[in-house]
Amino acid sequence: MNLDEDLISAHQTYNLPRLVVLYQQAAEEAFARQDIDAGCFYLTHAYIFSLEGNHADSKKIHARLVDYGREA
Amino acid sequence: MNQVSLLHDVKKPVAEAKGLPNQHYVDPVTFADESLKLLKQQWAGVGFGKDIPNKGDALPITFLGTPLLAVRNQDGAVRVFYNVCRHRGMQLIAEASNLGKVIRCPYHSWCYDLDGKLRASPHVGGPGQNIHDSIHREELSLLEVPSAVWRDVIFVNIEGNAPEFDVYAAELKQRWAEFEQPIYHGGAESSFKLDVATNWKLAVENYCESYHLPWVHPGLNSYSRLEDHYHIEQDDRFSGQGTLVYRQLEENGLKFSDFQALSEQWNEGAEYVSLFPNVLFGVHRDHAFAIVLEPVAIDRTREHIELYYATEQDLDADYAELRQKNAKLWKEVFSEDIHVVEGMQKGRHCAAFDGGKFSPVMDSPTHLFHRWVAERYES
Ligand code: FES
Ligand SMILES: [Fe+2]
Repeated sequence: MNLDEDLISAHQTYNLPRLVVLYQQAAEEAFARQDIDAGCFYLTHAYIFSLEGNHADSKKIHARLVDYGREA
Repeated sequence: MNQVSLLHDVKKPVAEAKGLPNQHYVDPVTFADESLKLLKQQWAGVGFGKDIPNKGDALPITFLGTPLLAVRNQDGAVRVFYNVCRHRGMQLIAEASNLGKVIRCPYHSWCYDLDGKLRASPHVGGPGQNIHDSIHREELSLLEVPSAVWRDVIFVNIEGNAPEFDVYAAELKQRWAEFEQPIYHGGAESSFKLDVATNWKLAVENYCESYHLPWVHPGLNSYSRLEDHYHIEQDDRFSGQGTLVYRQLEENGLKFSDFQALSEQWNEGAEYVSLFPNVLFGVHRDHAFAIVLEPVAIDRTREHIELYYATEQDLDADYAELRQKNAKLWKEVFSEDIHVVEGMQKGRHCAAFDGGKFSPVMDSPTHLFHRWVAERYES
């Protein structure tokens, strides 16, 4: 399965921890190709689902968005 | 006669007074007016703490059409917000659930913490940009409704105009100071709802008088003898009745535990009080109950009835039968009242009815409530 399909299935099953992981992956791929906007877009999604799911990565993701000037 | 003079009659001393005119039970304009003055501007009961026992629990409540959200925050305190997102006014939470630490709006995923603070506003400044100069998060907290929890009932003052709840309830808290101790909800069988085709006020009026007991509740027999009852009357706050002959339930030698260190008065005493506007309480040596009257429509009321015990031990399986018996007993009693409150509602469609003539001796708690209504209504 590719990332898109994984994401769709994680949305369908409302699997919050999985969404946090997959959106971080999507962000990494975007950052790897120097697409900062797309990276922050996916990171934002990872952040929102990490807040909702009380996920351990929440702080780390938040800090990263702050570094990029995308979050307060 | 005009409205002013009709309410003037309500406020006379009980021997000369008339009851509230029909329009307070059947006229939609008066109902809307009363909903504001008697409910939203007062401390109205809307739910129970036991329904949100854990941190992060959230319960959507619609009260008089207003969408509310009761939440137990990370400190274990109950807070009540409007169940509405500050962005586009989306309803935030549709069903009772545990939210963890944030309330995420299902529309564009703005996230609020359990104290209502806006924590995240994704893409608000464009894709991947979650901040913007014009988005001041500190100004975009969820709108909070003043609330208080007492005897497990969640009270709200929607209009935010009332004195502190502790001030409003001070006289009743003082009267029942001995009962200011933990209460334990009896569980599923100790919780029931009755849908009644009546205006909510008639349920209050019926609850606070003992006059009807021998006629409507003959099964209570010795317990309902009129001479064993007394009135409870606190102007502007509450009214009700007390009994001198409460007898504990007993089965195979088993009784519920008593609340701690009660004075002798409560050995065979029990009290039933309507805290205006819409909450009915009962206290006994070994159990208590709370009833929230939900005004569903001018002539529809949902009674939310919850029974509580004095110790955790009373929630054990050993006591299950006794709890069931107690719940059944109260359900029977409250069900016996349905035909009278529904019958009074029907009677209020008779244009010739003039509000009614009170018994100066037996109806004074009811009259006290009518006076409270009249005074609030005219304010
Ligand atoms: S309406 Fe709630 S985030 Fe848009
Ligand atoms: Fe009754």
